[in-house]
Amino acid sequence: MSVFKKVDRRDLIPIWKHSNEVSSVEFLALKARDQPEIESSYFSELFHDFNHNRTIGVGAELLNIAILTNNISQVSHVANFILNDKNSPLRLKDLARHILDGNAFFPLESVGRLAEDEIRLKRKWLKEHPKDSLSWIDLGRAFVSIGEHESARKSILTGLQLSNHHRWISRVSARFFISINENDIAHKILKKNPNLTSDPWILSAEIAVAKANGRNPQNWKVAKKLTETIQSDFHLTELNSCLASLELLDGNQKKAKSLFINSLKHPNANVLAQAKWAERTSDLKNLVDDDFLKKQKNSNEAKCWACYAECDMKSALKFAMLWQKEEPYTCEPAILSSYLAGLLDDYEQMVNIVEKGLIVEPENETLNLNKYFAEISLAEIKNEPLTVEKFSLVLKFIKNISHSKDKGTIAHAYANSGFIFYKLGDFISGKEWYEKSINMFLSINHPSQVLAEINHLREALISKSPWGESLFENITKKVGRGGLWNDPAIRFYMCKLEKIRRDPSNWRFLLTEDVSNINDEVLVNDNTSRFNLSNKNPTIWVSNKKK
Amino acid sequence: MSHSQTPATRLEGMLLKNKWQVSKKISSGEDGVPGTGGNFSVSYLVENKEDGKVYFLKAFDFMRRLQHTIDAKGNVMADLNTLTSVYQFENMLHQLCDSKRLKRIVRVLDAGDEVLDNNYMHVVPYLILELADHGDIRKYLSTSAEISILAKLQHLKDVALGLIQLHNSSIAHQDIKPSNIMIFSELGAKIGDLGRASLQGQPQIHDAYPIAGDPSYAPPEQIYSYSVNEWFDRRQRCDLYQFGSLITFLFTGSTINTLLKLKLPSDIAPKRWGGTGNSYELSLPHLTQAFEKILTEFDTVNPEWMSKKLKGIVYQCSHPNFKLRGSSKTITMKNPVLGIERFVSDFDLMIKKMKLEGIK
Repeated sequence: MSVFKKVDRRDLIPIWKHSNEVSSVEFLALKARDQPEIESSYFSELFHDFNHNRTIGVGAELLNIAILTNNISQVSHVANFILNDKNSPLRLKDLARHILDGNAFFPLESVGRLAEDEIRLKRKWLKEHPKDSLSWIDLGRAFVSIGEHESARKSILTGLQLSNHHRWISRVSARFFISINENDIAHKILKKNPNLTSDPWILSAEIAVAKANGRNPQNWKVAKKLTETIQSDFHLTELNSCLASLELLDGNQKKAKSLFINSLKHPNANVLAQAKWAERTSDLKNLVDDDFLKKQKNSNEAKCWACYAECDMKSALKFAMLWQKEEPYTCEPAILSSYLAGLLDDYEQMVNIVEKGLIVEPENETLNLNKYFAEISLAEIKNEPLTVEKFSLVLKFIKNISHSKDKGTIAHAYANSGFIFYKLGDFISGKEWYEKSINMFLSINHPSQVLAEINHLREALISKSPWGESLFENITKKVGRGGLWNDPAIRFYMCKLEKIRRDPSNWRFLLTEDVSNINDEVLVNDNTSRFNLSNKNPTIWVSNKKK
Repeated sequence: MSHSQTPATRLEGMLLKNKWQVSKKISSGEDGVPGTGGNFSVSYLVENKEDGKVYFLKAFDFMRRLQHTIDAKGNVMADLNTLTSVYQFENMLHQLCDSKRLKRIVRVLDAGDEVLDNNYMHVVPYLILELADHGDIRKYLSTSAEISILAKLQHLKDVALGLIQLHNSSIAHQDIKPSNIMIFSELGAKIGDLGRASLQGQPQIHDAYPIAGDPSYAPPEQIYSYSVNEWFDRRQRCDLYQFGSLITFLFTGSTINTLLKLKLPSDIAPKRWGGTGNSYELSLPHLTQAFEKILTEFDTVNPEWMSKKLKGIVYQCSHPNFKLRGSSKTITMKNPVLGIERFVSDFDLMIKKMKLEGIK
């Protein structure tokens, strides 16, 4: 299982929600045009007229004006008149009922729960209403969530053309092209927007996309100026966060901190997740008030990382899966969710998650490797026989990606080979492949080296390999000694492995037990370290004494 | 002086210009009275001593208006100037319509000012207009047997013709609403109340307002206070929006603005409608989607071909994007025109088809 990237960098690419669920902030102008209350006595005139001239026509107009001028409480008698007149049109009677009972005037719209349903409904709608840009964008989102990238592209481009230069449509269109790894097009869409240098939403997206595209942001200075001239915390939230991230990547933690603090004055889900990224990758801690975060609607990515930092992997998984549901157009949430399910050794869930992620990006190597890992682990947990034939597909895949240009991917494949050899009972080969994997990760200074070591330890302990004990001691010494060895996942998983080490025959139970039910602090003393195996903040204390 | 005592309210029984016998003060809601008294006016029935026919008199209640300004601690002299200009402008517009023989605009037969009590402060300017013997178009909303769909279509066609006549004279009405469409038994429908109209090249005070006509009938760009530069876009396309809304009202009982308000998410809807939306440009995709959805209201109209045709006309007239308002065949031209003539043809065709199918 894997999640760690060589460089854990999160770019503040806009989040793409369904048009029904977008925060209204993204549809507000920076400077609201004055909408003065223009004096109109029309409602009172009609009210007076209706008393003299009680007709359907005057009554109908009065109901309409009452709705528009927020005076419906005064026209119940008119609504009753309309309802009681046999010559009132049917929909006018519905309007009268709406006024009397507050019932919805329009019937509830069908919403496709599954992407396929959404596609069917939107296609049918767009056939009759081809100028509805929001529906084109929503259709594109549904298409990309099932991996239909070409159809998605057509839908997005149509929506973009219909509402050219619209802030939200430009941003989510760019998000789409990032999702399908066409970063140049994403960048072009934002760069061509005439409001690029005046709209902080467009500008923050442009800077983030430029960075994701490996380019140095050209509008850094313009962005800084905007943060000084615009007086709106919510309009500046992403831009401040974006600049903070750039400063952080440049090593200016002090500047980054103050910008992050500004960004969090009125944050959205993207900004909260970005701040959580900063917390886990830098010395900037406690940027996000977790109590505030808990109360936020959505923000599942940030919530996931908050739980992760607390070693509450079960909740982290729950939020990661919600994040996956929230952003079905990218496989990032699937990678994180499957990793968390892997930490919990919940292989059924892991397979389920990975399969959904692979629909979006079938060729994603990390997801494929995680899938094979989960399937084999699940079979073993269920005591199903593991044969060479069963592994043939996996081995073929591993062989193919062993030729990848990315050493991280090759190292990941090596780790999976090690895992398979252990499962086949060839422990020595398993050990060798894991060591090859670890060395390759080390050669490129890749953080997943730690995961490879932990996975190797697990397999060594389960298989009762003679080197299991020395591996355990060796790894225990590294835990808490900096870098990824301080990661909450390591603390969490090492406690599990400690239990297996003490009772290897019971590994099936110990690996998959629900640790959230274990509330008591169980302290295990070891020669070199002490383990707190409780679900709340499991801890390993490492002794400095040499054995 | 209280409202009931203002000179404009005391014309009953008077003979004006030795020709117009003021018979009865009438409520603005009564049959045949165009629009409302919203702009501080009082309505009367008058009889022409020469032909014995009854007409409508609109008396401008300057005193009431000025008292209102004094009570509100406003600028009285500025208001007085406004009132005189509004009166003179409306009178001038009617004369212009008359000189051009605009048959689909309610005619002004006379204008004058009557000084009461021999006190120049008690001057009452007035206009004498045709009186619509069938009231306004609102009665055509009823589904009773006496109201035929054919008549509705005929009246809507007349309104479209009226708009063409106004627009060809460089006038935009800006306040097309059901109570301003007057029905005459022999002459069909006519557009009344030019009190908020705009004459191209001669801006009046209300031309500077974000919403010139009644706010409840204003198109979305005006409701969001979006500035539209070109007179053609700002004024004539506003008329077209209101015309589409009139069609919608006559066939569904709701105006376009009511339906939009009910359909839009509250955080997109403008402040005036109780929402928090503050940008026309940024709300436009939602407005467009809501507009497309509310047009399904026409699905209740029978027969189906008429439902489709009306939907098509309203789509072209009342699109929330003002640039898309106008006949789909003419707005894409190099010099776009609204092409209201095409809607007149559409109504003609519908009328003929209905007759052929024997539908009343």
